[in-house]
Amino acid sequence: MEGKFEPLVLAFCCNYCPSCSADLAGSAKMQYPSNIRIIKVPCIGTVGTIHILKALENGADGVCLMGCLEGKCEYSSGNYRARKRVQYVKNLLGKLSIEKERLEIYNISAAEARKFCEIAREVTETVRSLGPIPLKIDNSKI
Amino acid sequence: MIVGQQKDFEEIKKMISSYNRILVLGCQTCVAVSFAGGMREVEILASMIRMDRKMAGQDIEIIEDATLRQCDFEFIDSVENLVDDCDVVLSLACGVGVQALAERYPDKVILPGLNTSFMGLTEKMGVWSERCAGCGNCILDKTGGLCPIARCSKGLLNGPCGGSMDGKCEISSDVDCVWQLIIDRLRALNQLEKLEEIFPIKDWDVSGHGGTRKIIREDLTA
Amino acid sequence: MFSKVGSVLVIGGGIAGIQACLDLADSGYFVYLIEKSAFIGGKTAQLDKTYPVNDCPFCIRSDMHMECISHTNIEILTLSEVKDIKGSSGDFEATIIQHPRYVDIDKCTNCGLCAEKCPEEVNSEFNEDLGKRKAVYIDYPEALPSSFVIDRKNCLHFTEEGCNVCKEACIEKAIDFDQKEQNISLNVGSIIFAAGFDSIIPPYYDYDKLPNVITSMEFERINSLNGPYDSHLVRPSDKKEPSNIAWLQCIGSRDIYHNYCSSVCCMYAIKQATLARQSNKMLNATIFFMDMRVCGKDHERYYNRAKDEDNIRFVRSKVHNVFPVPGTDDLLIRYADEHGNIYEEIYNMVVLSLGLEPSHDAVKLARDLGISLDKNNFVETSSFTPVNTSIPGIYVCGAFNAPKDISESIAEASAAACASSLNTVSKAALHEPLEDTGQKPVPAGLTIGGGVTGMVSSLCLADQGYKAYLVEKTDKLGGHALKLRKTFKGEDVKSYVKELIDKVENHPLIDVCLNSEVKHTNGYAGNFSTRIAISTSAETREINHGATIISTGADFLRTNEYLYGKNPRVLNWFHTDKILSEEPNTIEKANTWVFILCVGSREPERPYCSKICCSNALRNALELKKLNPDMEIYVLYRDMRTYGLIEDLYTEARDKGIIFIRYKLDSKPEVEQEQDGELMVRVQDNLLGEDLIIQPDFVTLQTAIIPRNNENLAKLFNVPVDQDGFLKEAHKKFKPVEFTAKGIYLAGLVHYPKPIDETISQAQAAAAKAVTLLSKECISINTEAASIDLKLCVACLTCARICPASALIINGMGKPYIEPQKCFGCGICAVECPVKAISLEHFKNEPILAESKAILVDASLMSDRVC
Repeated sequence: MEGKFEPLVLAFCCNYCPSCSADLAGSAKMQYPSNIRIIKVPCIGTVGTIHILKALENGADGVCLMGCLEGKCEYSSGNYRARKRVQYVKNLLGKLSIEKERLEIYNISAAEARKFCEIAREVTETVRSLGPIPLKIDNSKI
Repeated sequence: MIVGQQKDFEEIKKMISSYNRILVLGCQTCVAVSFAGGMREVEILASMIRMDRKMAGQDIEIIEDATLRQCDFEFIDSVENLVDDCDVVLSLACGVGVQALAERYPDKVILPGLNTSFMGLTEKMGVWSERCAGCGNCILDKTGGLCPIARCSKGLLNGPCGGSMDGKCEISSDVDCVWQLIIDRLRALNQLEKLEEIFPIKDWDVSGHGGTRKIIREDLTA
Repeated sequence: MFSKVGSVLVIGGGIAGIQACLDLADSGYFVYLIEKSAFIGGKTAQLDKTYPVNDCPFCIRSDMHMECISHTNIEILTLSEVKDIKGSSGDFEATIIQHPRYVDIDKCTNCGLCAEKCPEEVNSEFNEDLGKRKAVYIDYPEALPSSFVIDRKNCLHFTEEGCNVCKEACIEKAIDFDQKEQNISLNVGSIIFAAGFDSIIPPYYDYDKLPNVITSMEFERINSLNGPYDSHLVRPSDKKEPSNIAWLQCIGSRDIYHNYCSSVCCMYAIKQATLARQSNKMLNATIFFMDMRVCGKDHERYYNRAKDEDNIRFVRSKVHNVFPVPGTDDLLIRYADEHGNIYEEIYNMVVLSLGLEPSHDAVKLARDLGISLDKNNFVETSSFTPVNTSIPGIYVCGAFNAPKDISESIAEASAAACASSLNTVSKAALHEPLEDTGQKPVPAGLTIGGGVTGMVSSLCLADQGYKAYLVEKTDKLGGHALKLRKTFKGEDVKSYVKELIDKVENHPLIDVCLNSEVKHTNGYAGNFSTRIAISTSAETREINHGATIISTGADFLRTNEYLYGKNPRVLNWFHTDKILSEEPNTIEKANTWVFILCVGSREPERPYCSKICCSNALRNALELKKLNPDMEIYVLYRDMRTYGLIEDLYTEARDKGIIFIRYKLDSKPEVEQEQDGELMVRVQDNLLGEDLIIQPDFVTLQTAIIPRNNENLAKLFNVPVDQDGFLKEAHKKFKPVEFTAKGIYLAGLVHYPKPIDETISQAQAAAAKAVTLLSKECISINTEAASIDLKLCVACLTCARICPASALIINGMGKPYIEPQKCFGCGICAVECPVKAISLEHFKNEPILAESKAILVDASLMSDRVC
């Protein structure tokens, strides 16, 4: 099958600011790549190592976490925890020889619909340039 | 509490390379508390193994489970079906658990996923440190409640060595000289005279140097 | 069915009106909200972001709008005006005219087909005439009520007869041209004016002729995400990105027609400049100002950041003229600096920072009703009853009371809700969740701190029938107010405090605990248990209460600058107050008096404004001048921050010959003691550029208001402390008296320095919030709380260590227990639990994993990915 590679990126969005900015982007009819699929979570600190790994295992080419601005976490330090966790998982990816750039975390405020779109584009392009995630077995079996 | 640390992924990969049906079995007690072998880590390791195999284009089946304690046969018995069903067991318990499994399931290959590190405590979330060496002959009453066997790099029993500098051990400026701590604490407790007692040469027999240790309480055995 | 007699009428559906409605409705009162436009939200809805956090008010704001629209205790009448009000407190008869919307709110689905087809295009008021809308329109897609409206003035059906395009386009048949104007009569117990402000139409700088001279609200729209230019920062004339913008401050404020400061313009101009620089990093942003009045919480820091990090240029000058530059759309600004040198600069765009005028319609109505207005047409109120108008039963909040920002308006709205509820007799049916604990909240409030704030909150609670415990550390009530003489309006503080103490001590429902301190507290919103220790005895007391209000106040700085504590004639503000009330001879004999402002405030180690010093100094200076007209009085200041109506004092002080000398932080005045013991003050006069020597009899230092040691208190109640050491509220803009933790509120100086009127309105607001909780029929279950499977739990303590709400405790059985009323439901414990024993009902691990998998499988099937 020949064709253009369209990456698939799973975005975990904190239900506070980042989800707001995503909704705002939608209501302001701003464009962002459809490659980004959003899962809303109560706080970005609740995204565990396992959630990130499973997303990649199940066929996402990239994963990004969107948390509230530094110091603005509704639960005091969820976004800080998430940032440290992303570092940890990047390490694990390194051990698997999977590019660390497939995983990234961003801080975004509720109003930044434009930034949300920019991030969405940036992430999509990064992952596009990396190509499909090198898992050679079809996922549907698992 | 027994503190463990997961083995490097490369090492685990090599151990399991010839198996295609693996039971990753966690232990929900000590090593879970030190974030090395609880159900949380079982899921993460299983996911990594699967991804690794997929990258190599190979199929693998992983069963994920954990027992409350792997150091008790009764708990191990509850996973008998799972053990029977797999090619190999990758145990995320401490060395005791791994051996208990091996003893209970003599026909099965049991692999260790952890290095059993030490007996210690949680200093704070994510930081563990050693406190006891299990020497079999406790002297904490004489040393202000701080153990020189476990915590002095040389295991000295009669005061610090010449490498103690500004309260730190000569092996690293991050490591406290336990003898400094002992002296400080005894001074605070007004028990400095305890230091005048000379420790005789320690009997290491009860520390394992006399062979595998075993305790039998006749009143409890049936 | 309950009787609606004795419900509350709120006039104005802006942020203040909405907040007042919500507090009343949540406390079980029925409210009518009268809004003259077709949508609620008011001016706040037009704002892009809000200072000082730069976050978008969008989510919180829309939550508030949504709650207001859907509340069973609130009836909203849009397109409505109050025609007349008769009767008296407890029994008003209000006549309302409701204009037709011509669209059936219940049928309209907000699809927009009508507007798409409508042939008539006119300027959009929501976008300040910069964009277009149709004759059938909605302000912005999320506006509420979620229904289009037909603007009769422009609709061709009415102007040219017969156009039915929208009606034919509407699938839901929601358009109804036959709707008629309605006369509605409402019987209410009390009335809250939350009519807000109108922007001044700028009479200067050829605003009407020059397209690139715009108002601040126009800028707000241009820079908004849902603005007219698709959120691109471009100028109106040619839609090009400006490379430099000037903001001109005090337009329609502090002039001969408006002898007041509009309070909000400095901050919003900084905000606009900061945001403009964010969208165009190369932009030159210059703010021309007279005094930089950034007095609120975190405002000074915001200003410093703009100045030092965002490279916004601040020029202290009142701009003379704005001229068009021939052949371009640019503008030439001519201004003089402090030394009188004239400069000319060219800008692509000029923003006029417009002041606030009280809503013109509301002024007319208030006059008709006989409500006293001040000379600027703001409602006249006393500092001690900041939300009461001259007519009993009629209250005021927000910018119609005095120019103020969102957070102050919100606090005032809650205060007005609290005050008005005392006149209303009936309670509406309470809306309760289906699931409940069957447990009633303990009908008592605990207030910590027996200053004015604490006493006012306790009285509010007690007057509404709740038991009020008032815990005071010292042996008497009153706090700092005991040492204060007068408010900035000249009212006598002493007699007010005396009367207040009297009321508190004699109220049957108030239990005053003197010499007492809180030692321990636990429980949850609706049911707290707090242990207090009494210092005069070995006793402790256990108090059971439903809500907690923290009002422990603040302290003043004991400075070591300016010979304070070394020379007896270097005074603090309360020494000066004392001399004024007790030593007329001293004043008569004094020839010269110097006031030094910003002592310890706005310094690198204390980067905030203490807010009350300017007004206090001027009030005292004027009193001194009155008692001894020959006295020479010097006020050494950095920025004269007589915000809002306090500007009056500044004008009066200058009229009376008080001399103002501005000094800079890097060249502070020096106070020396000469050999003969006389004081000497040396200050660099900015205008003359040389040192001025003053030999005063007295020097008064307006020392900073500093936080008390709030760390212990914060730990005890598990509430946060901000970077300056004051307590940190849930949201700087929208939740000024609440904490993230439920059932605990704050008011007064423990939050930030503020004058007595703001303190009192915060105290009332905190009480109003407490009542919304105490009035509940039952404590609702926190359905978001996490739960632990104790069969799996190994008591590793991880959850208890990381819980941001401190909702996890280890019980006597050695197992963790989640206090459901405390749990935020964030799920951080669930993800960290090493044995996976914790789950969240609304956020289970498996569904999330399943969702992610479903999305991925779904997506990979749809896309033609190359694998």
